Formats: sequence, structure tokens, C-alpha cells
Amino acid sequence: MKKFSAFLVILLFMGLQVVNAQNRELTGVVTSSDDGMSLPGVSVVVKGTTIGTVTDIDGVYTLSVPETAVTLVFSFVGMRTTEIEIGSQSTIDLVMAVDVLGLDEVVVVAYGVQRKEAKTGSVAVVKADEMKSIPVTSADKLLQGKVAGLQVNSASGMPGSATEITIRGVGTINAGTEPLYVIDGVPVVAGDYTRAVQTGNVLSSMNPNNIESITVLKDAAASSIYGSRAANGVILITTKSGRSGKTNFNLRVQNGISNKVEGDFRFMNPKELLTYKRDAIININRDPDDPNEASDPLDPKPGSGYYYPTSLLDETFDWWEAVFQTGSVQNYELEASGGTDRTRFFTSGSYLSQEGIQIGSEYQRFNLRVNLDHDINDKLSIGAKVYGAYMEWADQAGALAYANPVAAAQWIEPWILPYNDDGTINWDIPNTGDSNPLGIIKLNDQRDKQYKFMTTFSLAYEIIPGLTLRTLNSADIVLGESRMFWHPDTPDGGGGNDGLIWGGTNNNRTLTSSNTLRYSNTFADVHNLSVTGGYELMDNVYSTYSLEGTGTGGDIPYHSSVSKDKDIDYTLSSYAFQSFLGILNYDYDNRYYFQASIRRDGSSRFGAENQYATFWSVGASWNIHREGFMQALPMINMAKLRASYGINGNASIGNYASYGVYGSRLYNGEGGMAPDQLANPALTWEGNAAFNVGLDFAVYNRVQGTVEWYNRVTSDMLLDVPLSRTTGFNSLRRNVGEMNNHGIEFNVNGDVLHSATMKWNVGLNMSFNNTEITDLAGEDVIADGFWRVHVLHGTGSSQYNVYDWAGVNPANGNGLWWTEDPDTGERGELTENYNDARRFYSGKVDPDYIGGFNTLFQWKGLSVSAYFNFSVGNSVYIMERHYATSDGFSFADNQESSLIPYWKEPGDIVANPKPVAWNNSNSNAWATSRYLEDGSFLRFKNLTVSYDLPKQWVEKVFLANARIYMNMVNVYVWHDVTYWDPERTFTGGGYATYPQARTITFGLDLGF
Amino acid sequence: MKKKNILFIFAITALFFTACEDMLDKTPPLQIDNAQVLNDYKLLTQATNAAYSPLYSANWYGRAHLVVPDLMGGNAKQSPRSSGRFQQTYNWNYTPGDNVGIWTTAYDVIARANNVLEYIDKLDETGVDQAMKDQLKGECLFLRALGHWDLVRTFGLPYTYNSGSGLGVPIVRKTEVAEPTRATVKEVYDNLIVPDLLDAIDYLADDPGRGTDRKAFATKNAAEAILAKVYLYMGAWTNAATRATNIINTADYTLYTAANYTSVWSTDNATETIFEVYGNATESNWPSWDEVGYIYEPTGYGDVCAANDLLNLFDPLDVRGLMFKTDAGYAGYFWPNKFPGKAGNVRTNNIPVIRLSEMYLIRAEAVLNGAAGDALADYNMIRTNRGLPLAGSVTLADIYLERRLELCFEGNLLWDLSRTGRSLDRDNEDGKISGDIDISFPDYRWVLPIPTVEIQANDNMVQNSEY
Repeated sequence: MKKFSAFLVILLFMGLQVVNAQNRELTGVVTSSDDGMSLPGVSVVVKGTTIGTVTDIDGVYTLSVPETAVTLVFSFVGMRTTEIEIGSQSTIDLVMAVDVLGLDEVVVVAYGVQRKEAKTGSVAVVKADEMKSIPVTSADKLLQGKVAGLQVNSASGMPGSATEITIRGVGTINAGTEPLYVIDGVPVVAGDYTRAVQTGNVLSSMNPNNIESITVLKDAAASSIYGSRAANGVILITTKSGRSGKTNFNLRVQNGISNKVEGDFRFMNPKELLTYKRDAIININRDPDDPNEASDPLDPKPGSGYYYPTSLLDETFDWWEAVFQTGSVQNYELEASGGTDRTRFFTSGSYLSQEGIQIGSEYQRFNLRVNLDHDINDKLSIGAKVYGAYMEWADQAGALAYANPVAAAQWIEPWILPYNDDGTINWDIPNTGDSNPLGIIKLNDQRDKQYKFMTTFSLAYEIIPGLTLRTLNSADIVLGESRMFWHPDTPDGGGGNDGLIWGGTNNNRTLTSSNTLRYSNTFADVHNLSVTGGYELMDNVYSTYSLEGTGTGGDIPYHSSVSKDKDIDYTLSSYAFQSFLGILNYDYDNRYYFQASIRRDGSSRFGAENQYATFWSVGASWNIHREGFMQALPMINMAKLRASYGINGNASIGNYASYGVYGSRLYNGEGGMAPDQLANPALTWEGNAAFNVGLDFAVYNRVQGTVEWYNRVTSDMLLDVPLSRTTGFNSLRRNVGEMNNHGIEFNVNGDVLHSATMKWNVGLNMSFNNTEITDLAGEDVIADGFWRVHVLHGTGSSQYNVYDWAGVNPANGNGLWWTEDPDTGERGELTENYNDARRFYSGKVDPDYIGGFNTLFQWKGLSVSAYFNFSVGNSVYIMERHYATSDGFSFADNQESSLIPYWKEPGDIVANPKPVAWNNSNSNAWATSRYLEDGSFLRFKNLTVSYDLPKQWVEKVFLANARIYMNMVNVYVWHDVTYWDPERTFTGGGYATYPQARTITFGLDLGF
Repeated sequence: MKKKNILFIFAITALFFTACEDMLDKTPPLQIDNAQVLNDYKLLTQATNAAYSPLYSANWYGRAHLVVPDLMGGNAKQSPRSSGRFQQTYNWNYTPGDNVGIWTTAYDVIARANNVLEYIDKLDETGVDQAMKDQLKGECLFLRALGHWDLVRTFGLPYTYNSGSGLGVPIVRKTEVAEPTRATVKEVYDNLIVPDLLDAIDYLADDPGRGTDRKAFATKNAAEAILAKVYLYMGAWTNAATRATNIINTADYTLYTAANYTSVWSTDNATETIFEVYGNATESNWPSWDEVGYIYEPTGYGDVCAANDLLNLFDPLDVRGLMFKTDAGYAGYFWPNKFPGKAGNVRTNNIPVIRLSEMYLIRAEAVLNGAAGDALADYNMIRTNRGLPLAGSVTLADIYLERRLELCFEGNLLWDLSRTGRSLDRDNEDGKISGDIDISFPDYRWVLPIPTVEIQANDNMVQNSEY
């Protein structure tokens, strides 16, 4: 019963507000200042009450108002909200002005909507029309460069790939970094649930064109109401709803092709490569033309041992061309929406098919959505949102694997041919353990299928005017099926395996129930108050089955033909949240705003000693432009100062991290149980305290923007604290560390030109984030895999720790390193000995600043839009170069063209050492500053040219509107990285990654 | 719709919530909660089984605990095949940063044993009698004693030096997140190792009742044999002789003979073995490439081979002189063959921890130090079974030499030197030793440094002096 006490208090409070008065009738017509047409759907409300209606199809309204009513408020999307004194009038017509700056726009925020002018926290919105016509597979990819402070990494160009997003820096080391995704009020499962392919993305189940808006909640005031899941920010996705009125149909067709973005980066051509290898052989005083140098002198095979005659160039093959292809994209959508007075619907179906630029990679999706809203009576309404999707990915191995086509092409020499003389596949390729990417594509199969269903049912009841009880219940289900098959002819499937198959299913089920009671009212005309109380539950279960076996042969590549080595595995994991929440919004006369939120979260993930926690926030803002003294400055349309502070948490700490558990062992033929994890009943969320101050402005009806400063402190950060080994464990994960992200963000957007027929708009956003670790539980440095380390009090918390490469000795062509001066700890002398090289911190994983700019030009029906995004100051480690620019270390492999020029004779001042066959000088060391590169880039992300056919033409063929367009994604990237694409994962590494594609599509949108 | 109906809908929703009171109780489904394991006899047995498995780790009997004492003691040297593994051991220049692995591994075993010991007596389960509980209790006491003993041998000076007043290792009887201090060597022996082994002898049965290899679980004899050796290390001569006699008299074990000596190694249930660590590629702690067999295999890692200092000691008649292998590419070098592998895999070996020969040698040494008995008979017992003629007399020096010949590469020499106050005397045969060649006892290097990781995590930990 405790849960309902909050409700009861509010209910009692409401009881005092019963109003009764005599009524009168008002009527009128609302038209648009833009074209003089009538405006249906305009909200007409008596100010300070919930008494109101909407205009009908002809823009006409009738409203019964109490005698006491003073003012009518008219509001409509895209129009300036207008207030009119009722006085003694009984007919009030209105010509509504277009809201150029969108100040009256209503944005979706946590547990409700809010006018832009009313916000106290840091909230950024990306609207539907900014996304239309860009053929991306998932909505998260649309956010890159659009929202200040939000960093999107697309490390892989694979269709339907995962996206990494961080908001205002990475605020954790061991907990999750992903923001919380909330779709139509329901926190959802996001991320990658594929198991066979390299990368997938559950969010790609959603058709981006079904999205009305995306709101990014960045600071505590906006996000803390999501409590222990809010620390990494919250992304609210709102899908489209129908509007009363006639049914609109929309048909969208897109078709396009994609290619890899060519730049300076390439591998050596056969002639360059052979010259390089021959030099490497000559440099160890061997003769590449001597058949006795072949690995088997009795059968001297060119290209074996040190026998590399020029005859190798007689017949060559371009493996690079072979592993890439021209990809394609097709998208078909049909959408219908409309409704009656009481019922509104939106429905859409789509099919997307994409073939990647790497051979064997593809993605497709079928998607269906129905959103329904129905008013049962004036007080009770129900809503249902249902969507289902089928997704399928296929690709090949990634990263450092022989079966990765991109890696294989880096290794296989051009004089090795893909097919034998008789046309069969060549499986004799020493560089890749006999793996032939072209054969593998034909014979192997790596694939994931996913079925996503999400249904949301809501019920809202207005108990008395202003007091609404709402329940939102949802089931979010992802079912997956994965398979990998290795054909007996391939190296992995061959040998004793005679065909190897792995497959399995995974099931992810989330149930959510969110229940709120809201009261809102206006007192004495100027005190606007809204109070919300709520109770929420979430329960998630995730399980996987895996089935493996061999002996399938090659004819029936399914589990049914497994004949040996059968192996099964199962995993199961679940978590739950139970939460109580409260929100208070108050403003005085639209001038002074105050907001407070509180949430009490309990989670199965937290240890028994800390199972519940309270999170809260306060925020305030001042609409300076509403003050009387500002009337003297009419050019200022808006000036809003706001500040907020709050506490939230990061609960992405694993499901069972607090338990002490035993796991299986084997000794002497007997099963055993040994401790796997030490209990820590105090283990809990990571805390996040965020302060934000911001200024929103709009001037001259043309330019608007926001400047913000924030400071967020992560406390109780999870770190593995070393333990005395007498415990039987090396460390225990505890809430002990502290780090801090602070920075400045701004965005500005303005109309350079704005007339009835022409519009030119430009916008820019930038963010500067600084991360500093202030407490590493007594350590100064914590390793982060490979050469990345977390450094206490460093500039940029995550840095690289690499050997100090000093280039090439002009005298002999050997690589040089810097030693460490034992006295100063700084750079000492030059050495040719890698073992004497110093190791130092160089470069950081996080950029100094990121941002984006965009421009939109419209003239009559023609529109050109472009947007760019950039990242400056981050370093990336190009792991590929260990093999691809190896100075002869990977002597048998293909090499990159950036090795030219290399040292040839004394006095040569070049960047690359002399090639030495089977070089073991470590000039290609795994951790070297030589391969650490400036990851800064500017990407021309998107270009769209579209034409809306004139109305008089389309109406002749009974269409409402028609639009044709051309879109180009990833037009060009300016960067200095020795790879196709400068973007890597957040951790700056990656190997043989799938480069991002340039995609050109042509599309047609028809409305009828 | 009637208001009553609406309220009904909301009331159903409300009921759903109140039904979920326990929804936050979610235990890991595929692992077992500590409380569950420790309150069930079958699972406690499994917890005991798993307490043995780290013995096979490369940090302990899987490799380091065998290689280090022989290499430092002068039985072994860096081979021409060496890529540097154990060079540091050969040089006697350990640093705290080397994080000597047995520290972590032995305390892991001690923690696993303590978990069982803490709960076994509280267990009240139908069908589980006291004898069943006692067996597990005895095994865990045995493992706890063995763990402490191997730790104190590695990190503390001998009991016989300065009355054991040097720093030993922390005595750990309960698994808890704590920062314990080091007890003295004497305290570790007197307060933990000896009483735990005495208790273990009382609790243990003659047959562990399980295991592919019955000698790879602790038995009454295993505990008593280890105790004999512990008494030897303490210079408790009469006790050592008594315990050794008890084992010799059981007739459960038979000495290897000159005829079978070369073929018994790494076989299950070998006749001399009293306790051994079971080796197999499916073991949880199988060291794989780091298994002791591979470091002594010339076609494997082969980094460590026998020193001529040792090889020259073998009489041509001595069958033990045949326990070496050679490699065509490295004439004049010999690798020990006590770990030949099982079923053709040189990386899987049973590791003898204590065996019958040593009981005779312990008794002979004890007798020569004043205990009652016939040292010459024991000495000749070994000699005649190794192809050597009967000796007419025996001295302590003869026993020391015999221990070296019999127990080489089983991890003894370093501590046999230090407990008897002898210094290291070796030759720099291939010039591969950097630093001191001979090292007198005492010297700080006769104990290894406490790992840095422990010093950092435990404020009460004191480093061995001069490290």
C-alpha cells in the first residue's frame, strides 16, 4: 500500500479544486497567415483551465466557456501560440502566424511534453523532416553531428551495424556507456543482439521514417527522472501518430548504390610489391632470382622462400577489387494515417534491402507499425502502438581473421590467383592459412535473423479536470536465430571437421508497466502548476541456446546433418527494476520556471545492502524576454537563462555482479566447484552528479541558439580494487573511483535568407568536452586493453601508451627509437634497439571537440541540404599497419603503398626503414607511436537535393504531393589516417574494419 | 463506459504490481550461490575437489614449484634452447615485480579449503554421517597445511635457521576480505602446518573414495608422509623418523626397482607414490604449454636442462642416471625425463608430491641426527633398488647426496640446502649466469620476494629484507 500513498496525497489535494460555473458559447474560424487556408486541429483552450477543443476540418471551433473565462489560447504545431481576450465577443476568428523560430513547439520530454520555452534542462530535439529521405537503417545514425555534446561512432560500414553513442563524454570505466533509449515512453532494449555476424543493431528494427521526433536529454534536470539509468543521458524516440481528418497515404521508394570512398589509401600494386620484396631479399644478401632460394629447391616455386623472380608479374589478381563490390540499397514504404473525431491512426509498412560494399554482406528488414488512439469518451482514452519487424544480416568474419575478406586482401599476394587453371577454387594460399575469401563467400554462411515485436497499450482517465491517471504497459520482445557454417572445402570447415556448424537462438523479453497520476492547473492566471507521481516496473529476461557440431558434409549445411562433436550451451540472465517517481513543474506567468524530480529506484542488479536508491534533480529558468523591460529590445525574440543540478546513476553494471558465486571445475576425473566471484553485497550503481547552466536565445526572428556549460562528476565508479591474495581473489569490483566530464556546447542556427519563395538556413553546433579521472582507487594508471590506459589526472582520461618511434636512420635505413633519459624521465637518446626504447603516453582517445554544420537552401519546390560533421584532436591506432607496413616482418604478405618511399641508400631521409625479409627489429611493434595517428576528420556526411512538384501538376493526377530527390550519404571525408576511413570505435582501435560506404540514392515520395 | 468499469481496469493493474513484491530477488541461475554450495554435501565435496585443482597450476606443482628449487639449487641450468624462461631464477635475481605466482595460487587453494572447513561442521543433511564429513575436513586441512608449507618454504627462511624467527607468511584460517600480517616461520609451522596435518591424519580415511587416481586425493598416509617431511624441515628428528616409519610399515607402497625405475613416471597409482597431483589436459588448471613436461622437453620449450654438476654425480651403474633425454641438435646436453607425459602428450604429467623413497631418506637423515633406527639399512635400501652396490657406512653427506640423486627435478634441492645451512656451490657451465655464481647461506636471496601486487593491496604486508 505504501506505493499508493503518494497518489492518495495528491488525490486529496485535488478534491479541493471542484469548480462549477455558468457557461457561454464561443465560436470562430482559424486560418493560416502563410496561405490563408483554414487550419484544422488547432487547440483552443481557456487559459488556466483544461476547458478546450480543437478546430475541425474547416478550421471551425465551438467552445462552451464559463462566464469567468478571460482569455483564449490558440496553439498549433508550427504556428505561434496566440492569446486573445474574450471580452464580450461570441465569435473570435484568428489568423495564426507561422512560428518561424519554433519557440512554441512542443517537445517530448520525460513523462510528458513541454513547450520549448518552458524547459529548465538541457534538451535537444531532432525532428522528422530533418531525417526524411536519408536512407539509414537505424535512427541512432541520424544523430551524428546533429546534437551538440552527442558523439556517434560508426566504426563499421556494414549495413544494419551497431552505433556507439556517448552524451557529454564517457563517464565510466567498467560500467556501460550507452544512453537509455525510450520509445514512446517505454525504456527499450537497445544494442547488438546478433551472435553470428560482426555487428547488428536492434534499433534498426524501427523504420526511421516512422519517427516524429528524437529528444536527447543531456543534463540532470531533464534525465534524472530516469534515475539509475540516466547517467549516460536519455534518448526519447517518439513515433508518428495520426491526426483527425481525411486519410493520407504516402508512398516512398528509394533506390541506390554504394561504393567505398576512395582516397589516398591503397595497397601496393603488384610491381611495387615485387620490387619491395626483392629489395627486402637483397637487403639480407640473398638473391631473389636464384631458384635455389625457393623453399623447395627441387621444385622451385616462384614466390616461395626467397625466390621472387620478376616472372611473378606475368599473371596477377587484384584481391582488393575482388573483396569489395558496388553495394545497393532499396527501400519501399507505404504509410497511411488519418482519423475521425474520436479515433486517430497511423500505419506503415516497409521493406529495406541493402547489399554492403564488402562481398557477402547484406541486410534486410520488413517492418510493420500501427499506432492507434481512441477517445472512448471525454474522460477516457486508450492507445495502442504495435510494431513488428523481421531483420536479417549476413556477412563474413571480421577483425584479425583469415576468413575476414578485408584482412585476407591485406595478406594475399597479387600473384596468388583465386582459381586454379581448371577453374576450381584455389585453396593453397599460405598467407591466410589457405583461406580464400572468394571461396569462403561461396561456401560458408554467417547470418543472423531477428524478430522484433513491441506492443504498447495505454489508458488515460481524466478523473476530474486537470487530474489524469495514466497507465502504459508494454512488451518488448526480440527473438534471434543465428548460424555459422564452414564448408568442408574451407580451412575452418575442413580437416577432421568435415563441415562445421554453429547455430543458436536468443530470446530477449522485457515487460514494462508505467503508471502516473498527473495534476495540472493554473491558479490566479499566473501560477502554472503540474505535479506527477508514478510507479514503474521493468523485468527483463535474456537467454541463449548454442548448438555446435561437425561432420555435416557440404551438401546439407544445416544442423540436421551434424554427425559428431555435438556440443550444446545455454545462458540465462535477468534483471528487474521497481521505481517510484515524482515530478513538479511550476512557473510564474511564463517567466520563472521551476522543476524538480525525484525517483526511487530498486534494482535486482544492486547488492542487498544497497538495493534502493533515490535520485533527484532541480532546475530553474528565467525567460528574460517576457520581462517588461525587454519590450524595449524587440529584436530579441527569446532570451532564456537556465540552471540545473541533479543526481542520477549508471546501473549498467551487469546482472549478478554483487553475488558470490561458485562455478564448475574438474580435478582428477571429479566435478568440482570453485569460487568464481566474491560477494559484494554493497555493490551498486555508479553515481553521477550533473550541473548545467545554459542560455537559449533567438534574435531578429532569424537566428537562434544555445550555449551551455556543464560539469558532471561520476562518483562510486566501479573499479577492480586489488585485494590481498589471501582472499583467494586478485581484486573485488567496488564503487570507489571518481571521474569528471565538463565542457561547453553551443549551437546556432539562422536564416540567411527568408522570403516567400526562397529560404537559406545555416546551422552549426560544437562541443568541447574534457574528461579527467580524479580517483582510481589508489592507482595512477589502469590498463584498458592493447595500448590504451586510463590515466589519473591526465588530459583526456584515456591515453595511448606506446614506444617512442623516431623514424629512420639515414645512414643505414634501420628504425630508430627514443630512449628514456634516466634523470629527467624525458626523451633521451636515439637507439636502434627496440628493447631500449622508452614507452610514453601519447595521444588521447577522446577528441578535443566535435560538431557538425548544416545548410538548407530552398527555392520554390527545390531544396538542397547538406550537412557535415567533424571531430578534432583524437588519436587512432591503426592496428592494420603492424602487418601492412611491416618493413618485411610480414614478408610473405601484401603491403601498403604508404611504405613508399622507403630507405634505399645512405643519406635517404624517408619515413620508412629499409625492407628486410622476415624483419625482426620490431620496427612494426604492436604498440608504437609510428602507427598512432591523428584521427581528426571532417566528413561531408550528407547531401540531399529534392524537388517538390508544383501542386497544380500533382493534383491533375490526383496526388496530394510528390517529391523526387537524390541523396548522397558520406560524400567525402577529409582526414590524414592511413586507412579508408578515419572512424574507429570509442576505444580507438579495431582491425581490418569494414569501411563506411558512400551511398547515392534516388527517391520518390508520393502523397495521396 | 461506466466509472465503475474504469476503476476496475485500474484496480487490476494495481493488483499486478502488488503481486510483484519479490521481483527484485534475482539470483544467478547458471552459477551457484555461495550459500547453496556450502550447505549441501555433494556440492561441498565438489568444492573440495576444486580446492585441489590449482595444485596443477604452472605457478605450483604444474611447473614453478619443481623448476625453481632445482634451478636455484644447482641441479639445472639454462639450456642452449632457452629463449629466456627461468633465466631470472637461474640468476637468483628475483624482484618483487615478478609477482611470484605461488603466492596467489596457494592462497587460492587455502581460501577454497577454508570455505569448506567453515561450513562442513554446520552441515546437517540426512544420510551424511560424521565419517563423510571428516574425510572432506581432513582433505581441506591437508590442503591448507600443504599450501602454507609451500608458501613458507618459498617466502620464509628455514625453521632451522634462527629458531624459525624469520618472517613467514600470513596464517589464513577463514576466507575474508582482510589484510593479514605475516606470522613468523615458527608460528606457521607450529600453529598451522603441524596441527592441521595432525588433525588431517585423524580425520582422513585410507582411501579417498573417489578420483580416477586415488593417490591424487589426500589420504591418511598422504598427510602423515607430508608431516614426516615437515618434521624433517623442522629438525624434529624423532617425530620425523616415527612418521616415516609408520608409512614404511604400512606396506601400501613398494619401492621402484632398478628394473622398473625408468618406466614408472607419470603413471597413475605408481607404487611409490603416496600423494601426487593429477595431470591431464582436461583439468581446469592444466598449464598447457607451461606444463613442466614442456620446459624439460628439448623439442618443446626445453629452456631448462640438467647441470653437469648433477650429471657428474651419477655412478655409471645408477639407473637414475638414465632418466635424461637428449636432442640431436644439442650434443652434450641432457633434459630430465621424470615428466615424460601421458598418452604421448608431454604436457600432461602426474606430479609426485611425496613418495616412498623419501620416507627412507627422511628416516636415515633423522637417525644420523640422533633418532633411533638403522640409517645404513635405509640408505642401502635405496641404493640396491637403483642398481648400486651395498655401502658399508653412511654419513649425513651421503644422505644429502642421495636425496639430490633420488629427488632431483621434484623440487627439493634449494630447501635441502637452506634447511641444513649449506650454501650454493655451482659452476657457470655455459657462461649463462649473470651475477653471482655461488651464493652463501644465509643471504636475502634464499627467500623470494613477496609479490608487489600483494604489497600494494595489503597495508600490513612487510617485504622480505633487501628486496
